[in-house]
Amino acid sequence: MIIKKIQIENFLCYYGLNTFQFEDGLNIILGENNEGKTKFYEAVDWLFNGINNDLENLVSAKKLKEIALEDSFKVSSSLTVEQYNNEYKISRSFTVHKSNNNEIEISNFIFEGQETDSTTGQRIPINGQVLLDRIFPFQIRKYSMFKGETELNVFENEEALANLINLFSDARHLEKYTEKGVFLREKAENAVDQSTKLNQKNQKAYNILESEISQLEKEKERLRIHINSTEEEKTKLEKNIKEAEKYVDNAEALQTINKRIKNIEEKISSLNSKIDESFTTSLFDENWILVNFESFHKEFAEKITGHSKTRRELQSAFDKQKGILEGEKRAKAELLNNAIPLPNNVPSKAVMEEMLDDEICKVCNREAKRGSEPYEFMMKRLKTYLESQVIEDREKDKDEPLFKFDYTYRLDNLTISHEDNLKNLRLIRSKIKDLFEFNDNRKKDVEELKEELEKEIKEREKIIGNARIANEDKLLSIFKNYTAWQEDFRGLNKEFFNLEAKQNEILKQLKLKKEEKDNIDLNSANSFYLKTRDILRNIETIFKETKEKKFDEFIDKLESKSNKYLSQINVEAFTGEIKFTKKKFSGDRIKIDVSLFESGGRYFMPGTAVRTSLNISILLAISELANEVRDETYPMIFDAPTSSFGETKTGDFLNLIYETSNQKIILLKDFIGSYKNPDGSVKELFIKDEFNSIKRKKAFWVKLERPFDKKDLSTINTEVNPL
Amino acid sequence: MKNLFEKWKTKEPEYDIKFRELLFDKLTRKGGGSEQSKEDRGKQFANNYELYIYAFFLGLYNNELQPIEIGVQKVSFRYQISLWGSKVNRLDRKDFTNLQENIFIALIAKTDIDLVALEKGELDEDDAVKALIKTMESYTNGGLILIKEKLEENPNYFLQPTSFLNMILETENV
Amino acid sequence: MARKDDILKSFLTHELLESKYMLRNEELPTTVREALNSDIPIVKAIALIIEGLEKSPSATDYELRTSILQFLNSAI
Repeated sequence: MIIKKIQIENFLCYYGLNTFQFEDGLNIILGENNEGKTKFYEAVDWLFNGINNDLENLVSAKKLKEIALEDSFKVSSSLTVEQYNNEYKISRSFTVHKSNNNEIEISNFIFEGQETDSTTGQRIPINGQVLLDRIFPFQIRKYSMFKGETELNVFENEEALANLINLFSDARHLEKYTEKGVFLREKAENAVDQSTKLNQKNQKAYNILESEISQLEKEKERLRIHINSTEEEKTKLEKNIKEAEKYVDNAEALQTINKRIKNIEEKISSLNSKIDESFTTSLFDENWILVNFESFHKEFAEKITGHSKTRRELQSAFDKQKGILEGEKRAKAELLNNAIPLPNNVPSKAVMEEMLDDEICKVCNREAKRGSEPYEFMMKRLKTYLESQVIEDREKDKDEPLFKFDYTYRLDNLTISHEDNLKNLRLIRSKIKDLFEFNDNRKKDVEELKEELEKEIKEREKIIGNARIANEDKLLSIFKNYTAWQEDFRGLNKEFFNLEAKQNEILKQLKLKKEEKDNIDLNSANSFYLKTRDILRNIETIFKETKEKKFDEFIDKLESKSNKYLSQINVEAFTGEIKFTKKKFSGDRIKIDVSLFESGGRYFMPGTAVRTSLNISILLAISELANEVRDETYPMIFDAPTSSFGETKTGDFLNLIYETSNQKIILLKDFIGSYKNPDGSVKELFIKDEFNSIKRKKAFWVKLERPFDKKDLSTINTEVNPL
Repeated sequence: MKNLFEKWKTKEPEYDIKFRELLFDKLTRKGGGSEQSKEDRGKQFANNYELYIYAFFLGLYNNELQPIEIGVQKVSFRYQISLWGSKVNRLDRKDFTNLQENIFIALIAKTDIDLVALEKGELDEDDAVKALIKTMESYTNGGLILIKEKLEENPNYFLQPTSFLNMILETENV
Repeated sequence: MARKDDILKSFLTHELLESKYMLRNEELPTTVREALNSDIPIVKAIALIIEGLEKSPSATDYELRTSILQFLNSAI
């Protein structure tokens, strides 16, 4: 089937009637983005699959504006094809009526077909859907029309390829034979069973065998399902693992480095917390502010000591002046040379008592035996002190004391207590120095660690940069999963082998039982039935295995043709190959896995351009094979299939496509250049010279009539220019 | 036994009002709140009295006895000396109430008080304490002036954690 | 027509015919018409099935089975 003509009328940006005449072979439609290329595809898509919802949105705004009130026009998309020397036309259309108050009325939605008799030239109407299914069945269309690069990815779905092969290969013819083969054989088996059962002799044994066999069959079926699902799981895991394998080396290294980095960061943080720079606070909390205080304490001590002496002097003089008549009240031991006595509480009571007990003056280290003069002197002192502690309950002294208050005592105490602390004051400066040193050393350590850290981080950047995934999180999660997947895979494999072993065991048993049964049959059943059954068993086998063989042959052919195309397209200089792997699943479902392998056998994860080449290669191979097998060919329509290729590679690709047999309509935005206005907007477009060397049967350029206002749809009109 | 220290401790010394905005607001974080929040604001003194104590010692060590000018308005932060340095409400600090004694010692040393007259009862205890306080305010004033001058010389001087410490250490040779 | 014969050929190339029935390739017919006249039961049976499934409308299960059995009855 070849598309001869496509006409688009008042559909979206296609104002008026626009015609594309096509030829067999390669037809190219060039168009800058948003100038009608994709709308072309959509018009064809609408023709094939269109429904009559939201039709107002399909109407050409320009036509709508132009038309007078109360007037009508047609919107349509139609296709003229040639098949088996006959010409057919399909069109989908509706009428638009512009009412008096500028509203749109849609009516007359039609989907009609037409056959032009080749001999008479007569046009015969045919139901649109029927005709469409005949000339371009849905199954085929699914694999013939592709919008954009990602849609080419039909083989993500493993069943899709299997369906496709069924569609285009010989194997599909043989499907019904396998069915019938099974049917006939089963009937023949039944006949034999019945016949055997009629013979009483072996009935019991036969029945037992039958039930045993039926049990085994059930068991076999159960196992098969289990095995299939295990296999499916394994396949999924395998795929994941293969994909991850590319990244795992990096991920492992990444994990190690991250651990190291974390370690260093922790060390740095711990060091930083040790550095103490709360100097101002320490002035108070550690009393550093007293660092220079010693001299002031000395001043104070001197003042107080001085005052204390003065006070005692005065008191002494006062006492002397008054004369001490009440001797026992103030038993003052006179000192030699009339020296000023020490304060009463010095030495303290405890010290005095100790010295008296030991009978030694411990200040000057002389004996003070009981009864001796020194001893008596000390005794008297102690007494004086004790008496001075006693709160005297007496009448008001007639005589006023010299000193009403005693501030000296406390001030003295202050002197003494702070005297002890002086040694701490002296240590402050060195403490501060030590702290500075400590901090400096810690800071040096931190600097060193920071250098190390930087090195590790640079290393890590390299690893991430080398990985194809720039995202560190993804890398690490892949690694985490990878290890888990590997484990799961090992487990599944074990399970799988166990299941297979069990299955083999059951098959063995089944074989034995069936042989036993056959033996009984041979002895009991009608020989006619037996012979018939034999033949039909063999026929069933022949049918089944022939079909499988055809299928496998097709896959082999498909594989080699796909690889042929792939090497010719050779985008990104990929030198590897496609491998098709057939997998059987439950219920006779077949899936085909398509994988790329680098030369060397390593699984390859393709980027976009290579993936596109892969898909196109397979599609071309299928198309070529289909042509060989079927009686007819179908056109393929691609909208921007090679966006990721770049212009040069696209050129190579087109030249390659040109050599393939069936009709192709390809829409591209390459080979168009533009003259820009000073403000960057497009002034004018042109077709590049390179396009002249592209081989093709027909070429068109769809471009918007200029000038246009993209905000005003009524100025949008695509012109179709044959090149 | 009478205790001059006890009496002195109950006082609330004052300072020249001009330093309130200039220094106290800038350098101290009044009121409660954690040490962390103090650090966060870059204020090195937790509260007013810390700065006061600091200025006192600074003035003392530098021998800058600068009585507050007569007629100048004085303010206090209404917190008696006896509370200075206590750990109340301050979880992450140590008690430094002992500094009170040091201040007192320095004041006694540097103030002319007729102790004999005091003990004879000829000098009123309150007057003695007043004299001590005057000395205290004067040294503090001197210290505050020094700080102010340093700031004028270099507004960023006190941003370093060691600056206040250094000012004290430098006075070794004075 | 061509298709039927191709299908027949693809079945008859199965090794079973040689291994179980001792039939060599040269001895086997190349068209369905030929095969319908064969006296080798399995060959004719296959030809009958092909004939039944490739005609339009194709034979029902019943038709198919009957024709095979009928033939085999006389042949075996």
